[in-house]
Amino acid sequence: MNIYLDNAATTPQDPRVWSKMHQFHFNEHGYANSSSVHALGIKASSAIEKTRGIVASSVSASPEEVIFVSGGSEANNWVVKSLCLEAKKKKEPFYWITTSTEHSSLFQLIDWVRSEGGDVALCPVNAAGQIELNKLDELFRKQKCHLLSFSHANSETGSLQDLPALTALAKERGILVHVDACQSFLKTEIPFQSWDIDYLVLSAHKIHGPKGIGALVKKNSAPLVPLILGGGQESGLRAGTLNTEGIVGFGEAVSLYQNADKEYLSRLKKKFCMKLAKTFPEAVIQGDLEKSVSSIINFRMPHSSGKKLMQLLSRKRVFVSTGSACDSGQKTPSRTLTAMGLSAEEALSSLRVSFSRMNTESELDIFFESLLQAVREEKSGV
Amino acid sequence: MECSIPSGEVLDLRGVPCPQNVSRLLLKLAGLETGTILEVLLDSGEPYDNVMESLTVEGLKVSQRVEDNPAFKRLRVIAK
Repeated sequence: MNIYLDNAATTPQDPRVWSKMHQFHFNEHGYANSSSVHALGIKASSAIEKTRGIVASSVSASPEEVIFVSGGSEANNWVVKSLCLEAKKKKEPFYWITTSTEHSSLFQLIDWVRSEGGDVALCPVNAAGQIELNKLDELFRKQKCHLLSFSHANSETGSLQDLPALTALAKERGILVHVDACQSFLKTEIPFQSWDIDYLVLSAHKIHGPKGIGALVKKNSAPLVPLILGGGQESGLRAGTLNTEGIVGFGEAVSLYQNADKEYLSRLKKKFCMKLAKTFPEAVIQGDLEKSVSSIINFRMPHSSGKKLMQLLSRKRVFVSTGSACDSGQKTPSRTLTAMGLSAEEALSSLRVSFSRMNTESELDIFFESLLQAVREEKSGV
Repeated sequence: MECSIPSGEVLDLRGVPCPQNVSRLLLKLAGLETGTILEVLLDSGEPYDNVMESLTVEGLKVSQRVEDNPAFKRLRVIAK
């Protein structure tokens, strides 16, 4: 039996999502190219437009503001590169502010932006992993900033940023705001229009949808250079035959997500924290539990190696992570945790556990039994 | 005699490629009550032809062609 507690990396697809995609393709003949003007093409196009409406309404945006992309990394790269290249074309020095706790798809753009002649500032975060408004304001005063990018919920710790306050501060200075919401999408409200976000990044595979599909929600007035030229799909911004089945699956995953799921995740998190404190009183939870998304918990086990514990748990078919999946091959301590003030040793003793609605409370019991065994094995040098 | 109520909305599909214009129009009409009239703006030429063909196939009726110029058409469609 597998106990999968690595849902921040990706979630298992909901069987109903799979079934909907299968049915759409085979039973409803949804395989046609959505750009074809015959009846089957219109059928595919209609399914895409229906999902566009579903995704838009899930974040209080208009359907016209939704662009389908392959996922979060693509959308993050697209926004930053697009604005940097536009500024370069206008011979303006591109100034980008982000944080050192970002997902690799943003963090690795720092060198790229600098190689294109742009300037990047990393806004510090506090011990809870949150951007401090006064520090951000200082950076805004330094020079004309084009873009502020950050994750709404951090992928390693679940720390939630104060999105409305950050957006309001940026807007006072006319700065565009780009939010990676892959980890918070549907787990917390994100009113795109009323919070005045310019670019919002969403992913399907974090909500039991298919991999390889996501959305960039973009305010109509926000600039964006076309990513792919060709057949004019996605308002001429991203050409190429649309991934209709993936889009249908994305729509189904959004539709299936219920308020009850949010409540269930909060319950799991609460139970997890109580059991952690009881079983391992020495364990320390990273970040502020009140200001984090309910699906992610990051904690350290003093005098243990997070990586070793993860490996020992994996042998017991219990799957957790030591950091965000894209960084998990690296041996260096998590830059997110060190930015929050942890020492290298503390960061290296950390584990990330992330839940989904498919986890059960009894799985948490198995997790703690397995972790107890793993800690004993680690100490005995297994 | 047909009883129809204007929705008061205008769906501007100018610049929207085929068949996205058709699917957006059908989706919009599906959300309206039977008999409601929706005003639609469409590019002339192929977009207009494709939309008209789909309306025929779907059994939807155009109540009025309000504007007909070389660049675009303005028409009123009845939701069923």
